[in-house]
Amino acid sequence: MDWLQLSSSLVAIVLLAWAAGKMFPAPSGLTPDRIRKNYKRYAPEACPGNPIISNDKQSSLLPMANNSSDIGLVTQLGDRVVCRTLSSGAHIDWKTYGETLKIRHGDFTQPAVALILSPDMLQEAVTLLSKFKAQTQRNSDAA
Amino acid sequence: MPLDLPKPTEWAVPLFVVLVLAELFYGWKKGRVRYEGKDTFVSMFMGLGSTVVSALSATFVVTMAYWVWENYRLFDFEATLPVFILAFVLDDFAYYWIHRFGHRMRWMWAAHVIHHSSQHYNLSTALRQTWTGQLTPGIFFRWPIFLLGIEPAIVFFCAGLNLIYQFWIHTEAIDKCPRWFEAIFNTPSHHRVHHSNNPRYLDANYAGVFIIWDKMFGSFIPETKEDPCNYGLVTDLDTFNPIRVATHEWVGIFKDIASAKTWKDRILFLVAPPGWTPDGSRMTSDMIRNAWLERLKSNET
Repeated sequence: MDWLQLSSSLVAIVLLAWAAGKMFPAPSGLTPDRIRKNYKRYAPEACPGNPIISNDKQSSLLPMANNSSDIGLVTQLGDRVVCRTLSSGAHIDWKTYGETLKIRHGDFTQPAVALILSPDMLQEAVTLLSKFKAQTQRNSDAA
Repeated sequence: MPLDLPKPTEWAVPLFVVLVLAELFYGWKKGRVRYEGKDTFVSMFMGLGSTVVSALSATFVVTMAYWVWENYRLFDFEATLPVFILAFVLDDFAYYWIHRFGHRMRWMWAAHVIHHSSQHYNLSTALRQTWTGQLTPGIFFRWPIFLLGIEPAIVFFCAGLNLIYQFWIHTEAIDKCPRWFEAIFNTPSHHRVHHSNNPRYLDANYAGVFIIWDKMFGSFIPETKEDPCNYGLVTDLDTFNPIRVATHEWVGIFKDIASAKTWKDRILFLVAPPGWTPDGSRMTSDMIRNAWLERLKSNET
């Protein structure tokens, strides 16, 4: 493979990806139904509660209706939905920057999840995460 | 002096671009195929990266192959048409096993997972190829063909043709092919099953060109209308960063090995199926399928 082939391939890739982006615009974002439906597909045994959805509709925290030791993380990547479960024992860390809540949980394939929230929702999300962390700590102390 | 044969995949690049463009317009018009800009970029960029890495590592792989062939071959096969056909069939058989181990052994899955990391299934997905295949035992699976006496250049040429064949089957634009074709060859329908993460379809249809290998070795599952394919990984990636896409399973293996308590666990983190853990805290594809079957049973009763 020579430099001409390499550079022309790169140009073709950029043009095709640009065309794909223009021809297939991503849907508007996450809705409660879309979040629950995708999370149920990911974790069929789960019983999802009411999600806390970021104002940009790109990410959400999903408490479980029957289980306080798991939290769902549901994000939109392009036009598809990605789900994770934060289970007891997960190393979770979060920071707030104004209206933005940034969550990291040591997952190389999900570097960080950012939620933009109103002050009330931000407080609700932080409370949920704090309870989860305290529960995880209690479980690890008991073990 | 090794045979100087063309590299089919490099010759096919313009055809790939034209066909992706054609599928883009078809999907846009008919709505039967979906693309996404960043996903398409990552898929095609991974393909370009794979070509570059293959070119850089070709000397090592080819030298090893010729060392085996020159020193240990059992027979002398001339470069004739029947030998090319034999090489094509044997290479496809070797591919079946490379691919099967690529899903059943985490070390090889670390390289192959890249190809399955898109939630889309279109022609650009075919180009989403590994950057790290040469770091796995997969390179040894073609050695029996060299030992038999077929020159490595012929086998690598056939492997290129095999890869080109597999390009067109990465599409939702084609439903089913004629029945006789579906019975013998790998088709879009068979390969959609392979790329889907529905519990019913996990770890099936490893074929390259001939689907008969799956039928012979019990890994064939047909596509059914009542369970439409959902594409991607059991736990999908939440990033378009090509470096993370290319290396994430290797990072996972290193983390697991570093935290393992015994040498047995360290080895099993490398050679056991993806999802294996000593305490069963994660799920292998067999566990996911069994849990799904249990749910089906309990729903019926």
